[in-house]
This record gives sequence, structure tokens and C-alpha cells, in this order.
Amino acid sequence: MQTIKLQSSDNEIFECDLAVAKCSATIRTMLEDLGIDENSEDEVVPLPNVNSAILRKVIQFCTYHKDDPVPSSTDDDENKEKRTDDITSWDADFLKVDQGTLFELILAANYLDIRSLLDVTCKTVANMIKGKTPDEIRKTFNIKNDFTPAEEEQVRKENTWCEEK
Amino acid sequence: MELPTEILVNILNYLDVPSLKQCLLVSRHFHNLIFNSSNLMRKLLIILNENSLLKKLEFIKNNGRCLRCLEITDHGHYLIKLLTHMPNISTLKISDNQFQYQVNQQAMRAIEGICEDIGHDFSALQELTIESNNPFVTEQLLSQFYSCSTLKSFNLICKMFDINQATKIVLLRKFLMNQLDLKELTLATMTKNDEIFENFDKMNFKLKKFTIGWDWENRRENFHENCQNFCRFLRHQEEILEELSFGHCGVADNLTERTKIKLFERMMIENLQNFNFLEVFDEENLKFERLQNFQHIQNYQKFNFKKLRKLKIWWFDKRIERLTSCSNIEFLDILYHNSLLNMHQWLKINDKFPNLKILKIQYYSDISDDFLRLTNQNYEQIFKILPNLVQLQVNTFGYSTIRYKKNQDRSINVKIYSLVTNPSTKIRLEDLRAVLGKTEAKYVNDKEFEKLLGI
Repeated sequence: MQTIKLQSSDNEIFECDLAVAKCSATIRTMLEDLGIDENSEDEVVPLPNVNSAILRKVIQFCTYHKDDPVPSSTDDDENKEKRTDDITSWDADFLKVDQGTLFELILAANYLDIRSLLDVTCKTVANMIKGKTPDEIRKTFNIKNDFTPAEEEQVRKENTWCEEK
Repeated sequence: MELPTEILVNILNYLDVPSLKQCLLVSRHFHNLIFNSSNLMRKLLIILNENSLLKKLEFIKNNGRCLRCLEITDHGHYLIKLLTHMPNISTLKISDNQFQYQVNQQAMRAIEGICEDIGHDFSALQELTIESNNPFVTEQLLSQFYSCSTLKSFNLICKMFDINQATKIVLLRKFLMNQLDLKELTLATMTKNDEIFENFDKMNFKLKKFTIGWDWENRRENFHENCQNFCRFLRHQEEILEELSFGHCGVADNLTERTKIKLFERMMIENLQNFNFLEVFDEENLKFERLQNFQHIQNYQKFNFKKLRKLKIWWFDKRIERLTSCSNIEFLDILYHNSLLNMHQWLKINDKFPNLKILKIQYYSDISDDFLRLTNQNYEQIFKILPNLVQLQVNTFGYSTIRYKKNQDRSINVKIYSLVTNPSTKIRLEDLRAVLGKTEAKYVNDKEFEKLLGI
């Protein structure tokens, strides 16, 4: 089985299956475009935006999902109703982490361009927002309410005019 | 929250409208994020009408550029002036059913105050629905969108809009001719013939979804023979057409659920005699509903019905004989209005339904019982030619009675569930048991029956 070495921002080296690493479109592009030789054992792919704790989680996710079919993206994608209740139990368990880690996983998935990880992490955050009041959302994500009372009242009024399409 | 804007938008994209509205109240950043995202704003619909106009005017002035979806529920011909302030509207529905033309003075002054009477730029508009009972308003509206050429979806629903009038044909045809990228089209208008479709095969668009509403009641007598323009248009469209729905005005509500061709309303199927779209038909479930004139069934012999597993036919008659490639049909649902006496003859033609497992027969009539009498012998013949039949349901309505003789000793593994819809219906289940041996026979209601059949 072919392996590849990945280096985290804190200089830890991870050796993982090539197929696992290739779940990341960014790594795939690096291998293809930058001419990194897949057969060279000494070659290390640097990932300066991902620390070792997160990279370890990312590799764990990709190892589990490496054989999943690649979702096709079509023009209709944006029109599709986006569901958040279809997270598998393995993924849900995998994402039982503190909020900081969850956000770091999102950033890593975005940087490494791993669509399935980005989707499931974003869905998880969306689920944390659903059903909450504005104040609860602020508390959950540590957001400051910078509306003046008058502005807030205005938005509240405008909100009543917004219907579901 | 230290997430980049594009990721936050991605997350918000997963929210339903109530949650999205809560997020609008979280902070200025969230509010701006949502208002500046075209994807998110496509979920939020603003409804305008004469009554709510004045209080929403300021909002439209300030935020109009961010709005993507608008519905105008009255005075559409006048209120669309406000689109000047909403240049990015991509989905617009105008349902204007009021016959009164004048907007009240206060509203008019307010609109005139902020809108210049200039031509609108509709370059962002992708979905347009015009729904009105007022033909004059419809014509006005259509002419106002004349310059629009970017539509992906256009729905014209106006029962009173007679597209057979020459001026309206020209207007509509030219309007559609401008559309290069149209994918969905609904035309539910008054039409007595297919004149409107003349030269429609020269349209530049290729539809994925087409819904046509016909004014069936007012059709011309020779409508059947004069559908060549329509057929030519459909043939021109068949390349990428995925969904085709027929209905007549007033039943548009039951057209929306269909995913593919499922219903051929009344005469339409015979008008499609020259249309080969059905050659690539691979639906598993087909209904021929209220088919009274099945004259051209021979033209469908080449249809690929091989994937068809469920077939529902209303007004079943002899011409079903001409259907071919039905060998995989497992569930046949027949609504019949006359005697069942000869049904076995039809069923056995060319071993048409060798794999039929479930036969559901419904019939009703106001003619006498005796004429409708179905004997055990008839049933026996049906069972003989349908070796795989496991379920039979007989529904009767009206005054009909099914009678069975007791003097048979055949044992056929058939379950009979009878649905009784009328107290005057009499099905003598005791006799049935005697006839069919291992038969399980009982009265059930609709829901129980569906459950039993697993359908």
C-alpha cells in the first residue's frame, strides 16, 4: 500500500495511505501540479495551516471515508434543499468535540478542500444554530450584539415581512 | 466566531427560514452577511400588496438591491414599478386576481415619489410567474416584461387569457422567442386549439419541465385532429425534457407532484400519435386516466413498457390488446364501467400479463345487477390465465353486485380483500371462500388494503 508523509504546522510528520491523503483536493493538486513524486519516501507534504491535533482528526475522518463515492456537484446543487438531519452516527460521534476543535476542523476541511468533511462540520454548526433565539445563538458562539435598540426593533419588524419562499 | 465569511454563509445555507430570521437579529455582521448573500436571500420572500405597501416602502428603498424573491398579490401591473429599487429580483410572482385597476391615491403618490417611469432592467430575473383571472391585467403584465430574456422558468396561469386571440399569440410567442435559457414552462391558459404552438419548434430554448393546461371544456370539436403544432413542439423539446404534465385549467394543483410523465389527461394521448417521446419511457408507474378514446393505441406499440411494473387504466376497453411489452407488469389497476364478463379474454391476449401479481378491479355502473353479474366461472378463467396472481381486489360502487356460485371446488391461492364503499354493494364472501378454497376474504377499508398490498 502506497503511503505519503504529511507535515503539520507544528512539524509533526504523519504517514498515511496515499488514497486517504487524496481525499483532500488540495493535496491531490499539490501532488499533481507541484510534481511531488508519490513514490519518493523522503518527500514530505507540508501543511502549514493545520496543526497536528487537527491533522490527526482529519486523517481519521478520511481513513473512514476513503471509499465513499465522490459526490457529484451539479448546477442544481445550490437549489437543492440542504438537509442537516442526515449525519451518520459515526460522523456524529466523530464530531463530538469542543467548539474550538469543530471550528478548526472546518478551517482545515476548507483549506484541504475535503468536501465531505466541510459539509458535515458545517451541518453540525447549523444544527447548533437551529431552534435557538438570537440571544442563545450569540451566547453559543460568543458574538456581541452590536445593534442599537432602535436598529434591533427595526430588524424585528422587517423580519415579519420575510416569508418562506 | 472566527470563521471566514464564505464558511459562515455555507453554514447559514443549511438553515431553514425561521432560523435564518433569528440569525438576522444576532448582529450587524450576521445581518449584512445574510442580506449580501444572493443564495440566502433567495430563501426569503417579500410579499407586496396595496395594503402593506406604505409600511414596506422605506425598507424597499434601503434594502431593495438585496432582495431576490418578490411576490405581488394585487395591482401587479402598477406595483412592478417598484422593481426599479429591486434590480436583483430573480424570482417574481405576480398573482393579481383583482379586477379593480386603480391603486389608491396614497399608495400611488408614494410610488410615484420614489419611482421614475423608466424601462426596467430585468437582467437578474430568472423565474417569472403571472397568475391572474383578468386577461387585461395579464396582457399588460406580459407586455411589461417584453424586454426580459433571461428567464429559466416562466409560468403563465390565466384561465381567462385567450391565447387564441391573434394579438395575444403574437405577444406570447415573441416573448417566448426571446427566452434562450428557459428550462421550465407552464402554460395554463384558455385555449381551444393548438394555434399558439405554431412555429414553437423554432424556439431557442430546450425545456426540462413542461406543464400545459388546456381548457378542455371549451375545446373545439375537431381539437383531436388538430394538434400537429403541439406535437411538433414536443418533438422539438424531447431531447432533454424530463417532466411533462398535462392538465386542463383548474386542475393545476394536482400537476405539481409528478416527477415524470404519469398522467395523460383525457384526449391528450391520442393527439400524441406522432410523438415518439414515449419510446424512451422508463417510468415504472403509469396511469391512463379517463381515457375515453383510445383510438390510436396502435401507435404506441413500439413504446418501451418493459420497465413498467404498475399500470392503472381507467375506462378499460378492448384496445388494451394493442399494448405490448407489458410482461413485467405486476400490478394492474382497472377502473371499468361496464360488464366484467369478458375481462378474462382481454387479459389473456398474447399472454400479455404473465407476471401479474396483483389485480385490482373497480367498476361501477347504474345499469342493472344482472348485466354486471360476474360468476365464479369468470373468475376461474382469470385465475387460469394469470398463473402468478396472488392478490385480487374487487371494488364495486353503485348498485352492482358480485355473485358467486358454490358448486365449484377449485382451490386457488388467491387473497381477496374487498373494499366496500356503498351499503348497497353486496359481496358474498361466504360464497367466495367456497369457490376459492384457500382464499382469505374479508372486508377492509382503503388504508388496510394499501397496507396489505404493500403499495
